[in-house]
Amino acid sequence: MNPTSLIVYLPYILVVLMVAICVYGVVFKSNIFKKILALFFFTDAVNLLYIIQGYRRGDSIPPILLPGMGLSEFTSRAVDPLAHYFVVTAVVIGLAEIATLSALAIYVYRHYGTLETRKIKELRG
Amino acid sequence: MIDMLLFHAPILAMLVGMVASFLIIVVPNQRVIKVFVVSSALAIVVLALLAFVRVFVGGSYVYYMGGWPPPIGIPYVIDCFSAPLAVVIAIVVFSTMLYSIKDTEKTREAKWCYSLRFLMEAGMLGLIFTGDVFHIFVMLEVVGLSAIILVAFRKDVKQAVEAAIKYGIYDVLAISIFYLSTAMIYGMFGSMAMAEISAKLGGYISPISGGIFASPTQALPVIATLIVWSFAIGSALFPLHFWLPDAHSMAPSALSAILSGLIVQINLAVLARILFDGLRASALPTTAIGLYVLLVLGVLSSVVGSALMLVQTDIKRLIAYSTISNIGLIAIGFGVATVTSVSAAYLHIINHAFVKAALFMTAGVFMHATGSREIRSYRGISRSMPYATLLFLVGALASIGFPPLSIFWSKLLLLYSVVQNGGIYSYLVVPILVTVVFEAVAQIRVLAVMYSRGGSPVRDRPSKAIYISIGLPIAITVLIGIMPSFAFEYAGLAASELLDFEKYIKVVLGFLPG
Repeated sequence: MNPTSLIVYLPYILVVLMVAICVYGVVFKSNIFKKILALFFFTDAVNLLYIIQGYRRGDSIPPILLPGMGLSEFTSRAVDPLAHYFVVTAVVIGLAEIATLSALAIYVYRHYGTLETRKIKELRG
Repeated sequence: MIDMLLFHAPILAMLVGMVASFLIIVVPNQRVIKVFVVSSALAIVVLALLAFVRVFVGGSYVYYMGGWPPPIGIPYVIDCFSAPLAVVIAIVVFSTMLYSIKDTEKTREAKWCYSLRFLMEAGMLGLIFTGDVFHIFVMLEVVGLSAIILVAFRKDVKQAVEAAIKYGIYDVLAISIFYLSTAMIYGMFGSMAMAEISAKLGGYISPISGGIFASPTQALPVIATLIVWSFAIGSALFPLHFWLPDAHSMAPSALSAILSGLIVQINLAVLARILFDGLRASALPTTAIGLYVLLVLGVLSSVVGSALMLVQTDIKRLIAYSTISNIGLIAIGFGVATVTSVSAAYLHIINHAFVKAALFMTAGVFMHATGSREIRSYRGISRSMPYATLLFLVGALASIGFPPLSIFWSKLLLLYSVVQNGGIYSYLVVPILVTVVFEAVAQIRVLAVMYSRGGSPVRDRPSKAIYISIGLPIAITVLIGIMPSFAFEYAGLAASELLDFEKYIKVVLGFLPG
């Protein structure tokens, strides 16, 4: 494998690692707060994947049409703006997720006095 | 004018839900809240029926959000598959609203419950109508977050909070996995509209978003499996079912009816839409792997879910496990992927939604009357509450698959479809029959307790509104059961429309490329 292709694939490998760490965290960690953190790691990993896919190597510019710039120059150099749109939407949704789950975690702590899932076993599953 | 209304009806139904969800928070008066809730829910039912009428008379059509065609805008596809599901959603949510209408008098917080439920309804309508993969992600989040908060609605109950956090973490994980698969779809196709994805798999090159950017043989199985995995968590197929009995038994009964009757099935319906129409799973061997996974998970969850019903002592947990086994049957139907089996699965979605909603609401009545969730404390309850027990009897018999009731026909159609398909598929008769037997034993055990002698007087009798709200889905169950030919015909139509991805592309894009 030559160094150039390694640089191309490195971000993707990073995404795969992040996803693996997240799934490990959600499934095997017993602290609820760690589980929640791992979930947001997951969303961030996917956000990163979107950004990498929209990125254009070499002579690229942000997707903003500046005055004096031709449309053909813009389309041949700008990175993909749609990927950014998806990420912004997902970040906002992620905020709602983290707010909901953290509020629930607070209630769990009030009732049980702990966030360890091994000690919270009123339900049989 | 009427034409315009029919055309906009599905979007208006969703908008009414969204607007009602926000308006209800500022309504000060208890009496006004009641009128507002019932009238908004009824308006959604009427609008969904109008959309159904429009599809029935004029055929499938597509609604471009803001007038932008895909891949720029979001298309809403209103066809024989989605329009009846919208009616089912609207009717079930309406009856649960009616069921819990008395709660407004008891607590001031009840209006938040209505608000979230309207939001959930709007989200579900969006889920089944949309033809855009990213829009599905957003709507899953709308439905999921409101459901999580509603499970924990009785926040002073320890178990409810625990069930909610469990449900929350795994539901958000499922949605995140789906988000990952949307990223992969975007990287591969450069487009989020399912019709375009499907067209590109057939060799279409879009003037806006180009062709396929990756090797289909390598990426597609991964995408299909990821999507099936995420929806398997969301719809509680067997190895991933652990959150469902807790969440569905700990939620308030009116909400359990929605969670168990609608959300899990809508998840499967959306999965079928993505697999069949978006990824051409019935024709492409690379994505058909998703169907095999679905089939295996379906067999496992139908058998295990119904077997676990036998050992339950808590009535709501028993009904929740029955949901798992029925979801398994639906997954088998979609997994076999012939027109007959998909129509059986489709019919089962509709029948099961009504039956399960009625069962959960009746269980709520019993729990309220006796103050207990244990089945053995319902000994002889048929003496003191004959009508409620009768409704439960019809619901339980329907969920077993007793002949003149609706689920009998969908189970029969499913059995017929696997036999008709032949080959290795005909062995699926065994798990389906085992499921039916286990479920029958478990439900009859409950009925035997309820109709036995003895028993204690009940604390409280249900109001007229509660009888109406449970009677509505039961009446529909009986009606479908008595007149199955229309249901069969329509389910066949919906299934052939779902499996015919070329027609879907033609409806959404307006032309058939290639």
